[in-house]
Amino acid sequence: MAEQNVEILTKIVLEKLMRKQLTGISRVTERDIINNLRNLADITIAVTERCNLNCSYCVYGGLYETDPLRNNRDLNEEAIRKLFNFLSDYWQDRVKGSIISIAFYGGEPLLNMKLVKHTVEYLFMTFPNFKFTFRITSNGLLLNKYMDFLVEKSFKLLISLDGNRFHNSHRVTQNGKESFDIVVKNVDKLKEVYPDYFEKYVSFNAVLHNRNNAIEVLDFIKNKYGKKPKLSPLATDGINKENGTIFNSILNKNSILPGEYKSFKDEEEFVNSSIGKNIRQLLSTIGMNYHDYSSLIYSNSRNEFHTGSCTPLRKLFLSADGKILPCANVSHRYVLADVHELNKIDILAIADKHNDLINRFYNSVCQKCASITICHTCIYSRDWTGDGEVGHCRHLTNINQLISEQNMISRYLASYPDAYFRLFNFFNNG
Amino acid sequence: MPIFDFLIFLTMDNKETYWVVIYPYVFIFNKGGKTLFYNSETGESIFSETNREILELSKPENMYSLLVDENVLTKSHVFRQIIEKHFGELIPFEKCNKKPVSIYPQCLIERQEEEELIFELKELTIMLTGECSLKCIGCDYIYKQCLWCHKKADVIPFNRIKSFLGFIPLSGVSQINIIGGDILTYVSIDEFLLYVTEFKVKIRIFLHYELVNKHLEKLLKLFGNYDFSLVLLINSPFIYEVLLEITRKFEKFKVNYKVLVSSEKDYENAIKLSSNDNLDIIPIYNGKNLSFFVDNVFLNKEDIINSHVSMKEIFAHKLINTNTFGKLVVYPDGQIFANVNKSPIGTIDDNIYKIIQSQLIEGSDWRSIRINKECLNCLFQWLCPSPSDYGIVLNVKNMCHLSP
Repeated sequence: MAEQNVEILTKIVLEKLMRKQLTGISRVTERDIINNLRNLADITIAVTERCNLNCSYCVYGGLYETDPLRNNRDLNEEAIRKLFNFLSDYWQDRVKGSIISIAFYGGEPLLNMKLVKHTVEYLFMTFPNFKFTFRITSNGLLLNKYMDFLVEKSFKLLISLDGNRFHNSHRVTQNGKESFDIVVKNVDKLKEVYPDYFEKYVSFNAVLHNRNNAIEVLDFIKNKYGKKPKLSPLATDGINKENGTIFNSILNKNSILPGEYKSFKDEEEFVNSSIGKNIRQLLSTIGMNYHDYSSLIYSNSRNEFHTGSCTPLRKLFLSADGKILPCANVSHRYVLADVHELNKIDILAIADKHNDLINRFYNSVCQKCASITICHTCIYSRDWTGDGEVGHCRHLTNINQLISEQNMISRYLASYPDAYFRLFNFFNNG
Repeated sequence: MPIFDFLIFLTMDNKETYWVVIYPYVFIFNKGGKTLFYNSETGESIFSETNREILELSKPENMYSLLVDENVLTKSHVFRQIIEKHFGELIPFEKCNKKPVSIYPQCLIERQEEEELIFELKELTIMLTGECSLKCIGCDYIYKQCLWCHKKADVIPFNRIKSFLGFIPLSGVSQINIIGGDILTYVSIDEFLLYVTEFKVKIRIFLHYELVNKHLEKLLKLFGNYDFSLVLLINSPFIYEVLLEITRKFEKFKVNYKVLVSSEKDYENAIKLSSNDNLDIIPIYNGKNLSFFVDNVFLNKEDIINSHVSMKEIFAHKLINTNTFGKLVVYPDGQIFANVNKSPIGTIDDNIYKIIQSQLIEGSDWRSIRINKECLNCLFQWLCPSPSDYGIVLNVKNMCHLSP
């Protein structure tokens, strides 16, 4: 045991974790995946790889190690038809009124608006009994051209804007010109023409880097649009080693630190921040946080090692080159199927592959980890290294690290007791 | 000066000061000048008069941690008990000048996406037919107190119930109870079982024990063809030898026995069957046996404090009705109930998502908790079980001997 000071909450967490013995390794069956397909309610479609911006920090740009084959491919109508033909077999018994979320992604999805429109019409026509909700993430450059359609179909629109002109200056066009004026002009027009839609459906995302900071970005977007943007740090995984120096010059090392508690201007951002997640995990370990009401009375006595990965096809990502992946955040090496060959999909093999991956990580890495029973790391994420082979986990924790982490959460709560109540406000009254 | 620093400043005199820190699994209940500290890990209690320090400690914003001087500790035996019984810790201020924190116990249910709400539905009871040839005493009131068969005019066509049940694989349902009437007179029982066993959920068939001999051959055939358990419903008084004979016939199969008792004599008769592990004894109110209930079912203080109620159970009592939550009953006319003593909440032709959503948000059945005025003023409000059907039938709010 470590010699460091152990806070009271840390002591309680450690006692709980010691008592929580794993009963085995969770296994996904073919039937689980079929049930996921029957219930599938979260689909993301990358309609194009093309983009009309060339942001310095783009995860598909030179700073990162990207899929070498990624270029300017567009998805087509046939891929959409094939995907939903395949899913329709699983959706036959689905209850009338089921809600299915479709997110359009890119590149810049408005560059393939023809396919976005086609998909929306196709879904309405093919599945009249379901309720579709649409989301799109856009850089806003073409918003003037397509806003009527987005408003008509009640798209939830996430606009990427890093703050004022200087804050936004990493977001340049393919010719190297700043995008700020055009984007702001388009967003202003959207707000003026469709004020109700703007109020209800539009949100912003700002990436934090060396030319902005959380407080200034929050102030700018709040003052200009009355909205609280989501703040995202630069992705720090998968950096192309040759460009490490350039990356470091762009990185804002102070982007979102737990100490910046006051920068969380609303509950949602706080809840989803790393400190928010840590407090939620602490509550869960102590027995104060449950996924749903029925967990309070229908207990699951099994306590299996499962990591934070979703079981395959609980979400679905269709890439612009027609590949089906577990979600938009995972590497191309985890392709589950090709949309044009869904008749050959081998669900048992997908289950086996998933189980095999979990087993391999368990045996080589996770068994050594003090956080094994509270792990939320996705095995498909870039938090794992080793190119799909068993490698190193960025979250591998020894007992001293676990104590330090838990002590940090305790001290955070001591400094900001309000954090605890903001969490409850969000979930119970949010 | 922030209030917290100010408090520290105030205590900076010659007296020894200490942090009293309560563990997060200890609940503090304050009612009418009395306080109950309840350790949900051990089931132990500490009672005390409520004082200023306890009220401060109970404030969620103090994070279960309070600075007190040694005078308070000397005078107040409750803090000594807290330390002795390991309900919390005492930390000298000189060893820890930063406020140590614990957490006030509160239950967080993480927000659920609308489409996930259907996973809150866990148990479905389906009355396929209300027809029955028996003339049991209590047929018109027993089912209002516990899950039991009863007569009703309708029979539900198989295709109608089949089209409703399509949502099961997409839901949290893990158990289907099939009741009647006389369920084995349902003409499509084979088709029905064939259909629902595909869902890989637990199936239970409820049958009155007096119907066993009439349907013995059919029952044995069903046992051979489908995976289900049989729940035999037994009214008191029953004939012991008849039941023993039935037990022998079904010893190879999954059978549970539920016996109703409405008096001490019934109870003594019923416990003769207690060698059977699969036996539930259920008290029943028949309109004449209130004293039996008052003496044997109503709780007193000792019953409550001697039962170990976990943190999870306390949260459940505060948020949901543990008797009805996650359960729906479908009648043969297609009506859906969250509680058969109340009005229907929809029909099988309605959107099941909407029915569940309404129960979760404003449901007077799934979310019925102890907030009547008697319980509101009681120290044991959240240690007590959720309101039950007995309370509705007896028309009482609290089935206990405690008068706050």
